[in-house]
Amino acid sequence: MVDSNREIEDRIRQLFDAGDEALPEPSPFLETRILARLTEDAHRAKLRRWRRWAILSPLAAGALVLSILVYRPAEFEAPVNTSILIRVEVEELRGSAIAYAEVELPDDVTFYSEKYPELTEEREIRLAWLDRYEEDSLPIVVRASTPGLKRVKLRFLDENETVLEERQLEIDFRASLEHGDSSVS
Amino acid sequence: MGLLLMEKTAGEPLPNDLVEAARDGDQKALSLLIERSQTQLYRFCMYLTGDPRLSEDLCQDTYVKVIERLKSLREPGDFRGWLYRTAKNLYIDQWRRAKKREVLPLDLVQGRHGALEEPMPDLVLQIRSALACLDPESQVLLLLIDQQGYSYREASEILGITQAAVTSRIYRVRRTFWEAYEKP
Repeated sequence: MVDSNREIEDRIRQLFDAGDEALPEPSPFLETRILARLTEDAHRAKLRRWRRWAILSPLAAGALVLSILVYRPAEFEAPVNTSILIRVEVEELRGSAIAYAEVELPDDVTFYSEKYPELTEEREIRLAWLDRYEEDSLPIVVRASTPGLKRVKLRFLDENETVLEERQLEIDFRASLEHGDSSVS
Repeated sequence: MGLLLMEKTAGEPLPNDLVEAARDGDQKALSLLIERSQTQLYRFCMYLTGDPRLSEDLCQDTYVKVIERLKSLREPGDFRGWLYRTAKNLYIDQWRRAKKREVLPLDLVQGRHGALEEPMPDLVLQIRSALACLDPESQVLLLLIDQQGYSYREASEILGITQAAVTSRIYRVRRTFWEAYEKP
């Protein structure tokens, strides 16, 4: 019978030393098994990534096509340093509860108005939606100081300021086009 | 390669440069890392499971889990501790699952793979039988300290308990184990 803790500890350690000697060695193939499993796991992970890609890519492509179809902005060409009249077709918006229209301009594009020259300083304006847009278009006059593709954003809001419709007009301002007042619609 | 000339001394800390090389994707270093640590880990698993095949499976699962996350190891000196912590967790998970399914304890299924396997030495069977009197956490604690030679502090880090808890538990665990071992 062993009494002291120290003695028990020594005996247990000796016992494990003897046990270690008696234990069989691990299989010589253990290392190979581990490395093979790692390789297999890596292959599986790669396969999973490919499968995910194969499933998601048609979906992504579909979403891309859809977004192009739905959001494809109108594109126009216009000369720089020239006031151009943009007529945004709003016929299809008639009857909806639109209270305001917001127009946001990109850099280097300004509003132009002979009557309200201070509009040139504004980057964004809000227009009260009037039934007087009888021609089924919202007229805006803008002017670009540099060439390039510019995007004019339009938002149509109801009385609660909820955005009902968003549009984006892409205008390709070109230096080479003939100057003079023109209009796009 | 200098690393290949190092002698196989189980139980000693694994050289940091070897762990770093394996972490950086050096396949030779990875093989050597397994080679240099597998015997000790296998013995640890053998005492826990009492079955050579289960031990090899546990070893394999442990290495795979650790190596697949090796890139996240910041301190190469922590590799051995991480290995044993992973083995301990896997073993306890298996033990809990087995308990839930109410299958035979691991030490009772020894030798089920047929006569081709070498019989376990009596001494190992006696040790395994005495270990079976302890709960899995206590088995791991005893093996880490008295079989693997970890300090109380290292064992506390592997087990995720305080050093004071290790100190207070180990005496009771040793006594229970020794009494079970000495029983005729």
